[in-house]
Amino acid sequence: MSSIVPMVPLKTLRPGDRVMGEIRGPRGRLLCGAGVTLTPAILDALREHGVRLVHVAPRAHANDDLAPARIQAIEAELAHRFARVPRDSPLEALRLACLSVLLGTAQDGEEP
Amino acid sequence: MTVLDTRTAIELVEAMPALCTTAQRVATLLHGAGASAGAIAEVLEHDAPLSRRLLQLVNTRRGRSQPVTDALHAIQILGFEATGSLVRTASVTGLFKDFMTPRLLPLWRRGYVTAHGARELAQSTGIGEPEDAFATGLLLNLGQMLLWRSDEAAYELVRKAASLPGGDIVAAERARFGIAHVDLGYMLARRWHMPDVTVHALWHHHDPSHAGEWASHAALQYVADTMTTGLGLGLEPTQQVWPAELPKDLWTALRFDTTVLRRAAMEQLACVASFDGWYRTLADEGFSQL
Repeated sequence: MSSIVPMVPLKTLRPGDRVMGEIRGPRGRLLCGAGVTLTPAILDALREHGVRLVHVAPRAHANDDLAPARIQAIEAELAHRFARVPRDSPLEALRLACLSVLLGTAQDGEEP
Repeated sequence: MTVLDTRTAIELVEAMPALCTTAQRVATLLHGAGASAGAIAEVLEHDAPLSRRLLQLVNTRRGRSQPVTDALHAIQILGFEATGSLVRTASVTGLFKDFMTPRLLPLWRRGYVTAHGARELAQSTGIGEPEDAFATGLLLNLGQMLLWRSDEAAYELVRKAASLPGGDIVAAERARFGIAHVDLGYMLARRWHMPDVTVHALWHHHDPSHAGEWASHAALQYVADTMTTGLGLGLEPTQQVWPAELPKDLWTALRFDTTVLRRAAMEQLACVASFDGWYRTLADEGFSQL
């Protein structure tokens, strides 16, 4: 489970979190490079530019803190919703994306 | 069995109002030579409800940035193409005010979430104009609303039939109503002079591989719609994903890698917070002049 790297809302990030990929503004301007450790000033600048989602290092948002029962419940809900989709279908990528995001959200204590 | 013959279906669609004159005038200005932001803003400012809807769509898109409060500023930020698309969206949603009932609220929410995912997918991959993708996502369910309104009890049976193993919503709608929501969506989009990309994506979002040159746009809508369901934001949290046929070459052409899909899903979850405000504004306002 910890291999799933979530995109997380900017509002949940803290100074010290490490950015995994380049962050660009709405017009494509580079705002923050990959590997940069976030500071309060960078977080303010990203907020100013309307950035909402950031790809961060897995260690900062691993799912290890989630109770196993909660992880199982999320997986079971997704298994039900995707029950008609064969595992070899390209749609399996959608299931994994949903799983990643739902685990990330649960980690942040939010319900969809 | 409630069966709508073609004539009834056409009557149902023609009973819907035409796009408001403001939206038509903006479209004319945008397509004319020497279009100016000032002239377009002036037209918009004479239609307060439409301007309000436009500004709300713009501000929802901008997240926590400083809100835009006038049409001219909105046009300067968006550019002409995106402005045209958002004005059409704002106008069409105004036409459905009578459909803003508690029973249909889940369909509105589903469309809103799908629209945000579709726009993010278009932005990430360059498949079409993001605001067209947003408009199409928002309109995916309008055909369902028409069917539901024409016979609510019959539509509930359709939904039950579609949820059975092997069930298919489009087939179930055609079996009971003689026409499916995708067909009604196509007819409405044609009536409202929506761009071809929207017309065909609406028509084929359940079978994107049959959309010909519009296949990638229809598939983009299918993926956004499927992720809405996958995230538990469908008509109910237990609703299941319908597996459309997505040939490998079409999937490859979409370039939906893990990062792109996660970003769209994240956007979909995030937009739920702004849905209530958007819906309330739409439900509370008066019609723009038709």
